[in-house]
Amino acid sequence: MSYPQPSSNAAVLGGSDFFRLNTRLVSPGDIYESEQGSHAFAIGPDSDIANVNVFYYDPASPASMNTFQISPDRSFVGTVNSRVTENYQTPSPIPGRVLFAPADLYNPFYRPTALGYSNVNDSISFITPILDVVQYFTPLPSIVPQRIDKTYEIERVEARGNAGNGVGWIVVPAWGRKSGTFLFKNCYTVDLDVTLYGVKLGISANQSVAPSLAFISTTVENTLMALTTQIPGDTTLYTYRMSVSGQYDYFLMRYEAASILGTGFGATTHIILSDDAL
Amino acid sequence: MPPAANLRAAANASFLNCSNQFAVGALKTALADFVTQGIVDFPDAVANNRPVGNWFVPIQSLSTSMNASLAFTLSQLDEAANLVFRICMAGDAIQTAGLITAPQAAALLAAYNANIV
Repeated sequence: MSYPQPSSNAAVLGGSDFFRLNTRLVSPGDIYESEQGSHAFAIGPDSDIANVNVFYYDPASPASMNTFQISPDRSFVGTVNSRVTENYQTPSPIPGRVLFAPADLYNPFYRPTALGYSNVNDSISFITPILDVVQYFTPLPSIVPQRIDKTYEIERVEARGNAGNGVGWIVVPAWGRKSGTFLFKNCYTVDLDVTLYGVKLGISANQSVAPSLAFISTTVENTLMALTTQIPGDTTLYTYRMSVSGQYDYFLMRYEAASILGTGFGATTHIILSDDAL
Repeated sequence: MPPAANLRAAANASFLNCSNQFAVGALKTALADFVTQGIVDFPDAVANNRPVGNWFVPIQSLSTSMNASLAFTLSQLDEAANLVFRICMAGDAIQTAGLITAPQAAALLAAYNANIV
């Protein structure tokens, strides 16, 4: 979340017929507000987040708040008023602004400890997810909120981690994606091991916590492409299909090179992710 | 469960702690008391408070919608844990960004430890 957040008031004052919140997430707790009512909500084309909760003032609902969720498959067409002169029924007054927040779980503090991640030796990099939501100020008969196919060109991978004897990890947003291709190339002069996982995040600090009487929300890491050893110059293509492999919050890539002389980045990965099912 | 040492730990333990409240039929009251205690330190008139303060709206709504009996549903537990996780992570992030003060973050953590743990 960038502070202060973009204001929908400026869009209205400027005569625009829509407000587009297009921002990189900072925290899983990011929540945004709009003082403007609208005729429709949709996921914007650049969004990595697939599911967004919209909270709005509704005097007939508990605490005067009602909610709906939008996704690439489901926009919301209908008038939603922002009732800033009324208050939600909270112990201290909060005006009836429209609120929206990602429904998908994002956690920049995730570390793949169950896969052997070392806080000391390994390095991990995240593609920071973008939240793109569009609020329309004119009536629309319907909306088809198609997201673009996202392309990631990853050239800089520290396949020896921080300490020169570790592992490099890259985390890419996967929310709602139904297909994709991962093209790995080894540009080092030594062998390179690559592995691809799908990650479903849970709310838990410790993935190895023992089962108990309480419910545990556990993070699940599933191997999509088993460890593949690439000789120098080798290229490996993996095709992701949701119907075969399931759907995830993150794609997690693991890179390990047994020995690299000197500095340099030789693990190259090209990724294309799509909402279209293969 | 022991009290959480900081907001990030509180967030990560939210599912565990909410499930404990769920198991003894106290989740509705725990959420309502958390809002009542926590919201006073985040008045809406100060814009920098809103990234935390706005989360009290869906938490209050969820608490209000719950049946006072033990008949909470698993989806309500999921939603409660998710909302508590997010408000704690929001507090952690905006304190780091300098939008709220350390005493405000401590007050949010105290509300969590007093009502959710």
